[in-house]
Amino acid sequence: MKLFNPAFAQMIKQDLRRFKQLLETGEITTIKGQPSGRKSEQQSDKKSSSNYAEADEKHESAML
Amino acid sequence: MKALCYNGVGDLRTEQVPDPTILNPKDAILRVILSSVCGSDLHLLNGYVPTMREGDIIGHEFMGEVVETGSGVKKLKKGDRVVVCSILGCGECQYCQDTQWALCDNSNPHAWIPEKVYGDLPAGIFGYSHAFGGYAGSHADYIRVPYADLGCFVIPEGLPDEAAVFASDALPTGFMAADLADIQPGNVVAIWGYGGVGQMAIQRAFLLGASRVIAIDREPDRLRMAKDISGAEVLDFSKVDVQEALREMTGGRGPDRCIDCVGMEAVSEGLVRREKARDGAARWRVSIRLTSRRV
Repeated sequence: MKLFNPAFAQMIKQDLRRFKQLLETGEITTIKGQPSGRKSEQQSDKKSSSNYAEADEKHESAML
Repeated sequence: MKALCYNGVGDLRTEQVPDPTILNPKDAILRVILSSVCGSDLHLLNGYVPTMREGDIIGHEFMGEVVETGSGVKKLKKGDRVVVCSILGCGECQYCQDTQWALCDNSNPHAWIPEKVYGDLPAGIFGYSHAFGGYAGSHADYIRVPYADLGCFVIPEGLPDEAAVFASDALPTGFMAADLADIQPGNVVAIWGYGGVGQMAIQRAFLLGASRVIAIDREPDRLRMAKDISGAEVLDFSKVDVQEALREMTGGRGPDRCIDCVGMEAVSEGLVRREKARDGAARWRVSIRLTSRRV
């Protein structure tokens, strides 16, 4: 019987990856806020560079 | 600024997009001076690379001038003319410490995508799909370069932009192909494709001690350059049977090393031959079956 939802393991893995980045390089790698040709992102105050970045963002909020 | 954006298979458009900004302390912003077209751009354009999105800025082989640096950038300064490696390395992880920069496990913000598909993750690459980080590419007026102290190399005075730009991608690709082929002094080396990568592989093969290099292509200009500039012997695969010709040129034994520098989209009947198998099914046979070692 699995104690946790498999998605939870993935979330922990992502967080550990970011923690490792911070420890090793002093920053967390990101593309959030970079330019693209997507009009929706250019007009929006909340800049996100892709739906993958959005997924990361949602994941972060879920962890808070 | 203006940037070349992917909008779907076969659909690239120059669009007006916001200027890049510093997002992390080790970032730098470059004014792009030259950004060359790589064969890999064709993979994106023709839809062979998944996780591309409408609006992605492509381009990954470039040089430019530093116009802004983050607080964590120590070696570069404004005005430096630099050539930038296509692949991003953090310099701190185990892979980077082992000089296997293309395996950097910190530079890809979307590491979970290739990890799910391939079981492991590659480093981030400029302008090369979201599986490789989703970084904005260099076919633009300006570009943000993460880990700038490590990926940017200052170009010595007197070296023209056109010569330096190939150190971004074509030179290391061809150079490493020849290295991986383990060329020994006196070897005869056959190189398929005389594009940018093929040219660099020929130079490296000679540096490693190859006695002869045979360049295989079909474009007359390329064949002329291979002969006159690179000092290679040439074969026009549209006119000869490559296997037979190679055996004839090498006393029947074939070349010692073979390197494939042909872009995926460039493959034609000159390189692969259609054959009838015993069961009657048509099969493609790749001519480089002849190779004793291939990259």
